[in-house]
Amino acid sequence: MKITLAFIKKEMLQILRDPSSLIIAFVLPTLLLLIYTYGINLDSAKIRLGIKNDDINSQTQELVDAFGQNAYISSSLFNNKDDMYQQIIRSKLQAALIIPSDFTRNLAAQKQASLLLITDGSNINQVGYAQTYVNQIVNQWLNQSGFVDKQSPSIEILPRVQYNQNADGRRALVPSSLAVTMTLIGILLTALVISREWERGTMEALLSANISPWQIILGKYIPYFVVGMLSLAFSMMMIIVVFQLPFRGSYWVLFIVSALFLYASLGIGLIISSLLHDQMLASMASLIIGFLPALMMSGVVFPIVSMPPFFAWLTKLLPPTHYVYFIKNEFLAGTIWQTVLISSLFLLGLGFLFSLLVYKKTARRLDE
Amino acid sequence: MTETPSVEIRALRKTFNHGQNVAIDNLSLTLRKGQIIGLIGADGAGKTTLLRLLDGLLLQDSGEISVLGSNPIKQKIELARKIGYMPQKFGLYEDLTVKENLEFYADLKGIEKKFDTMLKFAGLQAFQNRQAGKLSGGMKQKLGLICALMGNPELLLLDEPSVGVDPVSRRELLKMVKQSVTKDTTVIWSTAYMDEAHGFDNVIVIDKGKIVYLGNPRDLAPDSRGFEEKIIELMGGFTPSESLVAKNFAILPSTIQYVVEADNLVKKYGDFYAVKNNSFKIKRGEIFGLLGPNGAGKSTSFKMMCGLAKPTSGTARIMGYDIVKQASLARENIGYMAQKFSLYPNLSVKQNFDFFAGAYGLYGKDAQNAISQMIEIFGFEHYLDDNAQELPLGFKQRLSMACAVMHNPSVLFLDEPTSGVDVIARREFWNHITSLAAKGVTVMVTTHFMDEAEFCDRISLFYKGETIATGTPDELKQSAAAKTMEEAFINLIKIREEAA
Repeated sequence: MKITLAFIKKEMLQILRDPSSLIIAFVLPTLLLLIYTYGINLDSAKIRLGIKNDDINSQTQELVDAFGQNAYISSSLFNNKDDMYQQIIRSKLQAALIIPSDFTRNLAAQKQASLLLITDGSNINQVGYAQTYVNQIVNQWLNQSGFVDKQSPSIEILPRVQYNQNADGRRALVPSSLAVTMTLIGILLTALVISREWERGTMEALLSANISPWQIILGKYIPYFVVGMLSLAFSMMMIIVVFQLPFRGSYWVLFIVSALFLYASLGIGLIISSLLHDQMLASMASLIIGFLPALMMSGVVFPIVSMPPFFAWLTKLLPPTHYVYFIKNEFLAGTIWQTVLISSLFLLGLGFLFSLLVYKKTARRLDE
Repeated sequence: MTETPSVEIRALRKTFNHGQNVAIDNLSLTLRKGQIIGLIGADGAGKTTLLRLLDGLLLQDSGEISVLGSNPIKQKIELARKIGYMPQKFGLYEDLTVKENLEFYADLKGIEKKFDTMLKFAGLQAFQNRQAGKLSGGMKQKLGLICALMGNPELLLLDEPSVGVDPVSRRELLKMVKQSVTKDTTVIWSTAYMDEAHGFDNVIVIDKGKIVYLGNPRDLAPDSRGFEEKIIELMGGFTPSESLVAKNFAILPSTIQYVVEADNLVKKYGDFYAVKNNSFKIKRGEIFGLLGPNGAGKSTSFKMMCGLAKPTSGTARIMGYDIVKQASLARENIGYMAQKFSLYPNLSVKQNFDFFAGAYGLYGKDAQNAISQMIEIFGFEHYLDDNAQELPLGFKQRLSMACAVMHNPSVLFLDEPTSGVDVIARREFWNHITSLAAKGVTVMVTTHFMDEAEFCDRISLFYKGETIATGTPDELKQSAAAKTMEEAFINLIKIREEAA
C-alpha cells in the first residue's frame, strides 16, 4: 500500500512537471470541442443552385421565386446554359436546374412535364440534399399552381423531432464527440507512461526493487484516472456552461458511467504502453488503435446500423461505442435506466478485460 | 560451520535470440561475503547479463543461482530488500528532483527517509531540489549510487558506475561505497578502469560468457599497468599492428601549419560561462587532449569547434576556414564523434553505415569500399543486422568512431571515445588514433582515462570553463610535482581551488 502511494505520488509529480500531460488533459479537449461545436456541421449547408428558365411566364416565375425564398437553397439565374455548366465545373454551383420551354405547356395539357436537375456527383451527400430540396419545392409549387385538381385529397406530413426539436445536429454531435476526445485523452495519457520507464531505463530499477506488477499498474491507473476525470469535468463544464447545450440527464449517472468509460480507455493505453517499449511508437499506436476507431466506428459520425454485421459487432468491443450510446441519451432524453445499465455493464466488462491484459503484459523481468 | 556464500552459481547458461547469442556459457562461481569484487570483461562478454541474472531481472536457460542463500527468481521479493542494484542507466527519474528521487526509492524499499549524511558525503546537499536530469554526469552517478546503497544492502551490484566519470568523482564514488558497506557486504562492481579494479579485493574476468580469472588482482601484477597487460592477455591479447584505418586513410595534402585554431572562445548560457576565453592552436598531426572534471566545459568547447554550438564571442578556424562564416568548407574537414551515442538507434549497423556514407558524399563503389573496410577493421561482421541501440556499449562507440572516420577527414574531434569500451578495444582505438596522427590527421580528444592522456602530444586541463594548464604530459606532471597523470590532474585542480 505504501509502495503504491509512493508510486502515485511520483507519477503525480511527473504529471505536474511535464506540461505535455496537462496540455493533453485540458488544452486538447478545448480545441476538439471548439472544432466539434463550430467547425463540424453534419447538417447540410445551403445548396448553391443555378437556374436557367427557358419558359418565362408568370407561373414559372413563381417557381423561381420559390427557390429564392427557400432557406436551404441559394439560387442564381443564368441566361446561358454553357455559363451555368462552367460554374458547376468550377464548383461554384452544386446543382443546376433547367426549366424547358415546353414545361408549362405540357402541364396545361395535363401531360408529363419534366425539369432537368444536374448535380455534381463528386460530392454525393450534396446530391441527395439537392434532389430532396428541389423535389419538395417543385411539389409545393405544383400544389399551389392551377395545374392540379384542387378537389383531390392531399396528405400533409407533420414532422416532430423528438428530443431535439430544432433537429440541431450539434446537440447530439457535441456530447458524443466527448467519447472521441476522452478516448484520445485516456489512451494518450497512459500510452506513454510505461514505455517511458522502459525508454529511460527506470524500469530496470523498478523491477529490481520490491514492487509487484499490481503496484506498478495501480500506480499508473490511479493518477491518470484522476487527471482524466478532471479533464472530463472540464469538458462537461465547457459544453453545458460555455456552449449552453441542454443537459437533461443526471450528473451522478454521468459521473459514474464516465468513470467506467475512462477506466476502459486507460486500460487500452496501458496495454499499448506495456507492449511497446518506445514512446514514439506508443503514441502512434494510440492514435491508430484509439482515436481512429473511436471517430469512425463508435457511431459518432457514421451510424452503426448502416455498417455490415461483422463491423457492427466489432464496434461492441470499443468502449466509445457504449459511451456514445449512453451520452447521447443522457444529454438529449435524460436518464434511461436500461441504457445506462447496458452501457455500464459493457464498459465495466471491457475495462476489466483490459486490466487483465495489462496485468498479463506487465513485465516481471527484462527478458519477457 | 561454513557460512553461506553471498553468491553461488553452478553451470549457468543464458542465451538471447533463441539460443543464437550465448551470453553466459556454463559459468560456475562461488563468492564469499564481505569483499569488493571487480567484474571485468570485453564488450559483450556478459557482465551486464550476469549482474541482471543475480538480481532476478533475467531468467537463465539452465544452471543454478543462489544469492544470499535464496533463488533470485523465486524469492525475488525477499531478495529485493537485501540487494542494491545500480543499472547502467542508473534508473533515475530525470524530471524529479534529487530529493524526490531519493524519497521514491526509500518508499519502494520501505526504509526511513534519512539521506543527509549520504547527500553531504556525495556533495549533493546543495542540489537537493534540482531535477536529476539537470545534474552533471558525475552527480547523476553519485545519486544513482545513493539509491542503490539505501537500506544497507547485503549485496551491492553496480553496473559500470564509473563510466564517463572524471578521476576526482571516481575516487569519491569508491569512497562512498567503502564507507557505507559493513564487513559482511559483498560488492560486485563492473568496470572498464583497470586501475580501479586493481585496488579491489578480488576480480572476476569474464570472456565470451566464461570466467577466465577469479582471484586477487595483485596476484596477477603488482601495479595497475602490469595488471592491464595481464588482463589483455587473458582476454585474447593485443598485438599492436599497423592500424588499418590509418593504412587506408587518404589525407589531403596541406601546407597549413595550425590546422585547428581557437581564439578567445566564449560560450555563455544566461549568466553562466560554460567556456571562458579559450585560446589554443593545434599543429597538423598533433593529438591534443582536453582533460577536466565532468561539467568543466569540454564538450561545449568541442561543439563550438565543430560548428555545432555558436560561440558567444571569439572565433574558431579549421584548416583556415572560419567555423561560423565558412561553415560548410570547415565542416568538410571534420570528423566528429559525440559523447552521447548519436547514430540512428533504430537502424541496423549496415543501414547506419549506408546513411553516413551518403551523408558524407560517398557514393557507389567508394561508399561500398569505405563501408566494408570499416566493417572489417572494427569487427562488425556479426552485428551487421543488429539495431544500433541493441549493441553493447563498446560496439556503439566503435560504430560512432567508424562513422566519424569513414570520409577521411583531416581533423578528428573525439569526445570521450573510449568511455565504456573494454581494455582491448581502447588499445585498438588508440592505435588508430596515434597512427592517424602520424599520417597527418589532427586529433582533438577528451578522456577520463588518465593513462590515455599520456598518448597525447599536448594536454589542456579544463576546470570551470577555463584552461588551468597546458603542456605536454611530462610538463604537466612536473608542474604538479606528480608521478602519474591522475595525480597531476587532482593536484592541479586542488591548487586552483585553493587559489580561488
